[in-house]
Amino acid sequence: MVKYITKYLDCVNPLSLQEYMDKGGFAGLYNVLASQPKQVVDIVIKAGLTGRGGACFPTGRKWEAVSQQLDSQKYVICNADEGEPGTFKDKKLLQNCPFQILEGMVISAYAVGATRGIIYVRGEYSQEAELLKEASCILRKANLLGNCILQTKFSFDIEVYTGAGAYICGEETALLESIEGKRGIPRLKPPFPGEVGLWGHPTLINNVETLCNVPLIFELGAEKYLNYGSKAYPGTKLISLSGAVTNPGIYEVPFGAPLSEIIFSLGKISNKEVIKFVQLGGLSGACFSPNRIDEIYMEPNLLREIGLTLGSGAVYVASNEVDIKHYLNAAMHFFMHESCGRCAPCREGSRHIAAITKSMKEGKITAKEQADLDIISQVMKDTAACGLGQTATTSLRSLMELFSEEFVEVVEA
Amino acid sequence: MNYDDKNKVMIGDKGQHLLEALILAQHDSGDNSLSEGKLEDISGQLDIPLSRVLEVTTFYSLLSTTPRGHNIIQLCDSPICITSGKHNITELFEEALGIQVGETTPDGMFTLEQTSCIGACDVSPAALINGVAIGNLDKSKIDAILCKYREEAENDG
Amino acid sequence: MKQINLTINNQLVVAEPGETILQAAKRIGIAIPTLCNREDLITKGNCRVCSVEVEGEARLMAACETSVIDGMRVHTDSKRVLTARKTIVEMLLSAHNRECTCCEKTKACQLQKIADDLEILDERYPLVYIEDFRKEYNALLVREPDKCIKCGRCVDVCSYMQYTYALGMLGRGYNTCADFSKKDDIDASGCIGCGKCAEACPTGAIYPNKHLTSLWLAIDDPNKFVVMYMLREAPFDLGDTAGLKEEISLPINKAIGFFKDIGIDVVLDATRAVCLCAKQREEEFYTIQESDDGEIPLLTSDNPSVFRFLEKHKNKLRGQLSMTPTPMQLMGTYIKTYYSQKLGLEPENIITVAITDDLSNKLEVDRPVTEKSMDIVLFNDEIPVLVAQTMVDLNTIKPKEFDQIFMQIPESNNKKSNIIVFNDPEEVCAWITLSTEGNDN
Repeated sequence: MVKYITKYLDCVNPLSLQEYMDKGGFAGLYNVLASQPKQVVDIVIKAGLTGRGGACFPTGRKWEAVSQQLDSQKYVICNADEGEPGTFKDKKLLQNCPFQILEGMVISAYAVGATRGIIYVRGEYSQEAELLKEASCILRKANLLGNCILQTKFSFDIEVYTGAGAYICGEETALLESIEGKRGIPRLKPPFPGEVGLWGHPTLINNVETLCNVPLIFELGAEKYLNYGSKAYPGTKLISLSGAVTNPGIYEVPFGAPLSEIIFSLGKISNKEVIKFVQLGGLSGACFSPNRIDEIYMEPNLLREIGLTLGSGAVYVASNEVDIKHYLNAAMHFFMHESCGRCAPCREGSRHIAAITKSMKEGKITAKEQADLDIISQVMKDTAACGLGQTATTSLRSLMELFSEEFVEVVEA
Repeated sequence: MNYDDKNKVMIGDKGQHLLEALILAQHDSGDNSLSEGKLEDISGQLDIPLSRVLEVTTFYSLLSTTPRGHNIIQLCDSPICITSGKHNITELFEEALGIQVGETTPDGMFTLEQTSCIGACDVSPAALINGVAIGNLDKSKIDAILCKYREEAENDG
Repeated sequence: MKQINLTINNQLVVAEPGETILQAAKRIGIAIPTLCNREDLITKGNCRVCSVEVEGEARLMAACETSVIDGMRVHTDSKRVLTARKTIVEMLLSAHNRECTCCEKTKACQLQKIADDLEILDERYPLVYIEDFRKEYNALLVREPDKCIKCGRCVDVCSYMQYTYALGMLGRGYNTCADFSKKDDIDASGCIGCGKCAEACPTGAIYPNKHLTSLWLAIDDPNKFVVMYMLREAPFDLGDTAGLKEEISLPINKAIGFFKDIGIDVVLDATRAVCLCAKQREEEFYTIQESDDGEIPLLTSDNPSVFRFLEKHKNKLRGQLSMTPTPMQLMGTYIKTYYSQKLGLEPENIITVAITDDLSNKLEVDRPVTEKSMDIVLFNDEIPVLVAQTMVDLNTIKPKEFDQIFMQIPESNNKKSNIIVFNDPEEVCAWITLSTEGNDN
C-alpha cells in the first residue's frame, strides 16, 4: 500500500486549509497558474493519467479535446455519483479530502478554459455534499476559488449539486441530463460530452479519484508521478475491499499490484479455502474462482488479457457462507430497479432475469428458464443502449459458469 | 437521447434548480413527501411544465409522492449487504418496528424502505437513517438506534 | 459534400453524410423494422428493434441512431441480429396486453405487424403486464396503458411538436409509462385535443375514439335527418380492408353514392364554408379595427386544437383570438340554422356528421371551441371500417353528386386585413418568437 493521493486521509480536520497546505496542498495550483493552459494539458498527458471511474480512458486526451473546443462557455464536472455496489472509495475521498478534489477541479478548469464547475454528488452522500459546500466557501474566502483566483485573470467557481437516488446518473451523459433537470436517461454518443455536454457546451467530466490525482501531478511534476504504476497506467488505484476479509476498507496500491497482496496482506484473510468467489469491478464485473487470485494483477491491460476488467476497482471477497442464489437474486434485482427504462432490452430483459433468479433463490428453475437466461443476457449485452444493460448480466453469467451444479437444478418444464 | 436544440429552447437552463427544489421541498414538507400541490407550486415558480416536474419526481428513488414517517430508514439491499451478517437485517427491523418494508409505523415515527447500495460495503450490513449511513448493524445496534430516536421525539414533543 | 460508401448485406450503398444506417438502407429498398423511430420525431434508439450488426463493432448498433461511416459493413439479417430482434419483440409482447382480436388497433398495430413478420406464434416469456383500465377521456382520445410499449413517441409529439407538455414519461425502469400530468383530467393537464399522440402511437395504448356506432344510431332513428359534410376531393383510401380487395380506393362520387345508400339523407361539400369563414373573419377584423377595441393582428386557425393551444398555453394572446368559428364548425352551424329552417326541421332533429382528416375536430363534439355544431365527427380512417361493416359490393354503387345548399357569401370589402391563420402550435411559437424579437429592437 502507498500513500500517494491518500496522504490527506491523515488530516485531522478535513476543513483545515492549513493542514491541507502543510501536506503539500495547493502547491500544484501555484505551479499551474504560472504555466499556460496548453502546458498544463501536456503535463497531464505526459503523466499518463487515466480515468479512475471505471472506463480507464486517458484523461489528458479528454482535457485536450475540451481545451481545443471553440466555445466561450465550458464546464468541468466532478462525477461523485459513486453507485457501483462494492465501491466506496470516492466516499472516503469526499469525507476526508474535499480540498484535494476542489484543487483538482480548479486546475482542470484552468487547463480547458472552463469558468463554471459542478460537483454532482449522489443523493445518498448528502453529508459529504454539505462538506464540499463548506470547503468551497473556505476556498472562496482564501481567493482560491471565484473571481481572479490568486490575483490572476483566471476566474472559476463551483456549485455542488446532488442526485436523488439513481445509479444510472453515474453514467456521464445521464449525469448531464440530471443536472439539466430531467430524467437521468443516457444520451447517444457520439457526440461526446467534451464536444456537446451540459446545455450543449463542451464539458469535461472526471471522477473524484481522477481529480484527486491532479494536484499531486503538479505538486511532484510528471516525471516523479511516474514513479508508481506501470508504463501504460502510471500512478495508483484506490481499491474498495469488502467481504470476508478482516480489514475491509480502501487501499491505495500502485497499478500492477497483485490481487493476492490486496486480499491476503492488506485485507487479511486466513487462507484461500474460506473464499467462495471474488468479484472484481463491482456488480457489473465478473466473478471468478479463488484459484485465479494469484494470476491477477491490478492493471487494466493485464486484466483484459485474462478476460477481466478493473472497473471501479472494487474487490468483493465472498466467503463460503454466502448463498449464491441470494447473492445473484439481489444482484439482478439491483439492475432491474436501477434500469432507466429507456431501452426495451434492458427494461424488459432485466425484469425477466430478476424473475428467474427469484425462482432460482426459491429452489429450482426449468431448462427453458435456463435457456431464457442465456438468450436474454446475450441480447441485453448486444443491444442495450448503455453500459448498465450491457454489463448487467456479467456477474450472472460468470457465477453460473462457476457454480452451475450448485444452484441450477434443472427440472422438466 | 441526443442533445437537441428544441429541448434547449423549451426548458433552457430553468431545469437546473428543479432537482434541488424537489429535494428541499420534500425535506421541509413535514411528511417527507411531495404533494401534488407542492409539485404544481414548483412547476409554476420554475416555469417548468408539470409533466416535466412529474417525470423527474417519479424517476428518482429518494423522492416520494406518498406521505412518509418522520424518520426514514432505508436498508441497503445490495448483494453484499444482503448476504453479510449472521441475521437478516430486514427481518430484525420489521420485528422491532412492527411493520413490513414499504410501510410506516402507526405513530408516524418511522418508515422502512429498501434502497440500492449506499457505499457502506466495508461496514455491511448497513442502512441509511435520515440520510446518514449506519453500518455493522445487528439486533442490539438496531434497538439502540430506534430507542434513541424515540427518546428524542419524546423530549421534543 | 463527400458521399459515403458503405455496404449493407453485401450490397453497395452510396449515402449522404449525416444519414443513419436506417435511411441508407431505405435507399436500396431494405426496410429495417422500427417501433419507436419515425422520420419526423426526435425519438430514437428506445426499442432497439432496428439493431443491426456492423463489422468491427463488439455490439449491435441501433440503425435509427447510428450515422453511416465510409467503409462501414452492415448486416441486417444475420442470426445474431434476428435473435436479438425476435427476443426484444417477444419481451415487448410479454409486457403488453395482447388481446389482439378485441383491440381497436388490430391490423393497424405496428407491434402486431413486426410480431407477424418475425413469425412469433407463442408466448415465450411470462406475461408481466399489469392489467389496467381502458379510459375514454372524451370524444377524441381513448387510452389503454397496459398496451404502452414505452416508445416515447407520444411524449415526443406532445412536447417538441405541439409545445403542449401534457404528457410525460413517468416512472423508471419497468414502471415507466407515458401518462398525462393530471392523470384522469387531461383537460387540466393542458391537452389541446390535437390527437397527435394517437396518430403517433404504434400500438393500441392511445388511439382516437370511434363514432361509427353513433352514426348507425342516427341513421336508424326515423326522427333524425342526417346531414353529412366534408372538405374533401381526394378518394378514400380503403387499404386492404377485408373483402374489398378489388377496390382499394373509393372516389368521392362513389363515396357519396355509398353514404346515400346506407341511409344518410344529405351529403354536402363544405368548400363554400371556407369562403364564408374567410369573409366573416374579415368582417370581424374590420369591426375590431373600427371600434379600436381589440388588438391587431387577428389570430385564428382552421384547426380547433390551435385555438385551444392559444387559450390554454398562450393566454396573453387571448385578446387577439378570433371569435369566428372554423370552416368545419361554420358549416355545421349553417346546417343547424339556415338549412334546418329551410327544411322545416327542428335543429335537434338534424344530425350533422363531419368527415375530417384533422383529429382535433373530434373534440368539437363535446368540447367545442366556439359553438357546438358538429354532432358526429368521423376521421378518414373510419370510412374503410364503415364500408367493411356494410359488406356492400362496391361495384353495384351508383356514383352521385354532392347535394346543393345555398350559402350566401358576402361581397369582398377589398380593404386590407391583418389576419394570421396558424396551422399548428409550432407556427404560433415561431410567430411569438419573431414578434418579441421585433419588439426588442
